[in-house]
Amino acid sequence: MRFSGRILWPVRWANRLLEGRRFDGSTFLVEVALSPVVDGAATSVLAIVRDITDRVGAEELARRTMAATAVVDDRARIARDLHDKVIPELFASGLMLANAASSTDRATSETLHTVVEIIDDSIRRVRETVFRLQGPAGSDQDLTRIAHEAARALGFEPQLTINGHLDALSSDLYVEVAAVVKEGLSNVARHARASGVWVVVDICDDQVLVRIADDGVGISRGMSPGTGLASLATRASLIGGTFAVAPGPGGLGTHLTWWAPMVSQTN
Amino acid sequence: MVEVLLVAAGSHSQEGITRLLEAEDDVHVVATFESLPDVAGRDGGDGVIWVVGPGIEVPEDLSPKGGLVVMTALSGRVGFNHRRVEVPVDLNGVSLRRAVRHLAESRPR
Repeated sequence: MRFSGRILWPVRWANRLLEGRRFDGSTFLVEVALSPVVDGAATSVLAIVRDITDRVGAEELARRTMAATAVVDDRARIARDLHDKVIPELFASGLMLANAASSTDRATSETLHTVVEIIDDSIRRVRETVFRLQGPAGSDQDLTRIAHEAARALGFEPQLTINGHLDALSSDLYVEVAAVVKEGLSNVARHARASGVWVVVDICDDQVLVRIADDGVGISRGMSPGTGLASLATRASLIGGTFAVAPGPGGLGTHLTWWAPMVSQTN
Repeated sequence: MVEVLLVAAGSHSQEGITRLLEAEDDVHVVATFESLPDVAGRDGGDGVIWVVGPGIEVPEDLSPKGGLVVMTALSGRVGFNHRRVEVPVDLNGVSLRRAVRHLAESRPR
């Protein structure tokens, strides 16, 4: 291989990179090993030039991965501390103040109850923080990912429509919505023998509505729900919402409807 | 009246969670325990719902007949089914009472 070489100095003096240039003008990173070769009175130099583009790229990728892993580890540690220590301690402190409020004079009791409400609000905020630190939930991509993953079991891509902003949902409510979409699609894949499924998530000022419709074999009225659908009903009930599953128009397919108020279980 | 068995570490937690559970006079805490091993063999019958306070590790296979409410820092992450309900801790007790009522109303008949 013929090339011309020039030394680059972009990294560090002690770790400078040597760049080779091919006759076609393209460049690549090289490592050069020089060895003296003595032949009688004549001394020559043997140069071994090695293309190290891949190695340098792998080292850079490893460095970036380690940096990213360190950030993820740090976020996980902070989330764990908040989850395991801060929230339980705030909760215990709130309980102690609430206990004290029941055995003191009225004015002090009112003050203590106000402090308890502030602590309760702090718990919610810390919980939001833990949720955000633990993963990138709350974005459109997450529901998209759930729908995309369901495509493997369904045999086709579900059609997902999100009206409104998922950011408006609390972390708890987001978990519920994601669970509904996941379980609803899983149910279609297992039972419906459908060729199409449509998921619509409507988020407006005070409520969130999830509708999942398929064009499969449908269900009979009065049919008892399985564990998965019972779980969705439970989830809806616990946050003051509703859940219904019914045959589609003309008995074709199944329509699942899950509704919950935005101000949910913790308020 | 819904009967509840409470497992929570420390008298302050026991007293506080009892107050949250009994705030609307439709739930009654019939017994309190410091830890799950203390409850062994003393669950008070099929109809009693177990409530486990935060910070207590609950085995995945624990399934009291009356139902189980687990208080956690985050809700709904693991082991959620209609006889085992996880609720996030909050100091107004709304989600806790709602979970207990739900289990009471959805008991197998």
